[in-house]
Amino acid sequence: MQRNLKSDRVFSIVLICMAVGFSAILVALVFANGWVAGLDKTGVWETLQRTEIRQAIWLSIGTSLLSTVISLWVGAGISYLVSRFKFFGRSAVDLLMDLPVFLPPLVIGMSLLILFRQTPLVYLDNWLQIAFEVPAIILAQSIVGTAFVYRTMKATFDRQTGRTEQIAATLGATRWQAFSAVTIPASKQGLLASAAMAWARAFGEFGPVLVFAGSFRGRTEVLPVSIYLELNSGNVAGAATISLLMIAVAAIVLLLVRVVARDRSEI
Amino acid sequence: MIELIDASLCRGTFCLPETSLTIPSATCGVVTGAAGAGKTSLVEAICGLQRIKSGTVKLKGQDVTHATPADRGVGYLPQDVVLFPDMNVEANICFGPKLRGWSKTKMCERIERLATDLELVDLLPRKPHQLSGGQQKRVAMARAVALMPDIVCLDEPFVSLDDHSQTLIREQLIHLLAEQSATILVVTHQPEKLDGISDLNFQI
Amino acid sequence: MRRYTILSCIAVVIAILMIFVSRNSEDRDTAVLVLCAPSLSGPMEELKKIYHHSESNVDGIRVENTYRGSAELLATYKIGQFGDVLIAADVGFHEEFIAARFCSSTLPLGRQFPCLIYRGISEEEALSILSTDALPITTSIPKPKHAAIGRRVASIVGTRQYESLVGCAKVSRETVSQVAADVSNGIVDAGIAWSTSVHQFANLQSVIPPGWSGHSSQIGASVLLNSSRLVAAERFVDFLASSEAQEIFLKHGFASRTIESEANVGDKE
Repeated sequence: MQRNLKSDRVFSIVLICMAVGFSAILVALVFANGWVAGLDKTGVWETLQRTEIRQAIWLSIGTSLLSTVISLWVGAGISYLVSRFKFFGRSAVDLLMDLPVFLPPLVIGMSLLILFRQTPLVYLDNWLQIAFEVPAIILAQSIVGTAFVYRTMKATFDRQTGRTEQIAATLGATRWQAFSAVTIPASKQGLLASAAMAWARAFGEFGPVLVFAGSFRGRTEVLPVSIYLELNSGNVAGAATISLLMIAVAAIVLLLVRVVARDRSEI
Repeated sequence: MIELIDASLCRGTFCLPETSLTIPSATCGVVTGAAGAGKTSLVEAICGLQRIKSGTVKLKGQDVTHATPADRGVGYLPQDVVLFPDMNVEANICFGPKLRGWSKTKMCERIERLATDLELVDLLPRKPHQLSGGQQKRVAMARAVALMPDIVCLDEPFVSLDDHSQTLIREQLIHLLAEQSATILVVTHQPEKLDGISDLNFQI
Repeated sequence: MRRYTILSCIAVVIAILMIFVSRNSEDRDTAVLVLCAPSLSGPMEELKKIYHHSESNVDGIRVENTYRGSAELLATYKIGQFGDVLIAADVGFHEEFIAARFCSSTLPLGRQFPCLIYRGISEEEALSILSTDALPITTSIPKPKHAAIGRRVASIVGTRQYESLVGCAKVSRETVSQVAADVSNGIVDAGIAWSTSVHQFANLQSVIPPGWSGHSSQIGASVLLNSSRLVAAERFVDFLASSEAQEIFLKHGFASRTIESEANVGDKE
């Protein structure tokens, strides 16, 4: 019995050390940015006052919000289809939906650029300019976001047996009515987690946005691209300032999500 | 009227051989059998939740073999209860009437009646996870009959219920027979609970 | 579901509003898009603001810059063909654009010199990285295939020696700005960069090694033939060649441009 107690203690200590160690690295990252930014306080204020940085803030939040909404609807819809319906090509769809998660971000950006600029899709420019414009940012963010929503929501729907939908059917519900009135409300926690993940990915998306939307200052500049451009221009304090800003926004959103999720679980 | 004519079905490795039964209108029939005999599969085939391999299902004289569950209009109390977890008791019971576009007045009247009959008045604002097993079953019963269906199927309605709740369920079945002339099929291990109510007994 | 639909609609409206707020109020179709090497960010950002209020900007167009490594600009342009003006750090890249028929000529804007940048060590120690008895100095070296400076120095010291410098470096970077940032932040002691990097980054000192001063690189501007705003682009390029713009380039450490051809014209690979 003493041997088991000692073993349990060692196990707990190892886990605690891992948690403390990793948390310390994350906290150190934040402090490192703060320290660099603090070295040039005037530069910090100037960076935040600059028009292109303010534009980047609005554009980042706007595009990530829109991409999250698109990702949620499309990802949840496709995951429900794959989870509940049996059809030819179901496995292929499941595999394809996972692809954006595993592909390197630059591959997605490059592929989108080639698709919209080197194939007949280039004629879309006559009606709607996509590449190197804001729609490119939204498209690049949505592709990755949808893949994340799909994974989370498929796991959520797979955990539900589909029994509630069957009973809803006996009460006169169509498949859409059962999905919207019964399945979706029961999947709230999954939806919240998906939304948070999709938004986080969209907000921080860099590779595909840089390649596909370009990095034109004041035009398709989102915050991750701003950091890249500030570094390229030698303004390290500015880059650190924008990093801190992104960390702060992410932290606020994470907190909000936790508060909402806790409220829901307590009801 | 419920008619099953040489209906057979398969579910995974389990297969129910050709079975026939007929329950006339305004009658209560009881289905009994050993565990795993296929009683639940039979009931779900009538409701449209399970496809039959061969044979015919007729409800009120109409062939509904290929009809969807929504089109069959059968009130179903499943063995596993299956309340909608995100809705409170009132919303669970109103689910069917709301889909059918009932007026608010009609819905309120119906809920009041069912809540009184099944002693659910104080439970209406609660969510399913806040109810006991017996309370959940009564709510499921109310939900199954809220639309005043002509055909009602109940799978093990008395399991895990205290005597008082069992009495309430019995009284509800009597209401259905007397006021709605409903055709009722009950799957149960306790057929004696339906003495004086059921006229037919089927063994599978 | 109704609640989620309403929430989604509200989110979409807020998002679209934010996107519109982020856009400039002027018509985006009158913007001239400039593809720039990173070493030019200092003068180009200043010139952009001046041009917006300049009399020569008769149509009131805006200039929008992007800063990427020269090789990356070429590769991306080959696929995307999006942009109006190119300003690379070395004329050699312009010649590749001309060869690919993306532009037809280059207007010289100024010159910059390849040099060694360093921080926290002496000039002798910095120069020692080029000799065979190198002292233990940590370096950041630009990749020759990506950065114009890499090509330039490889043509001066020879490909083999340059590859050896890259091999001994603590880190090898795609752009000269990354190299300058490494030295400026104290990650390495020294690096190879343009003479203009000293003006862009804090705490840097520079030295032009013997024999390197005759190998200045010409920066130039080319109007991209695929541009949908050719007239506006040409007007902006003319402004860049004006005396007003030249003063800005000089202020940021660029040497005056040479119009006549000399041995300093960029190399091809």
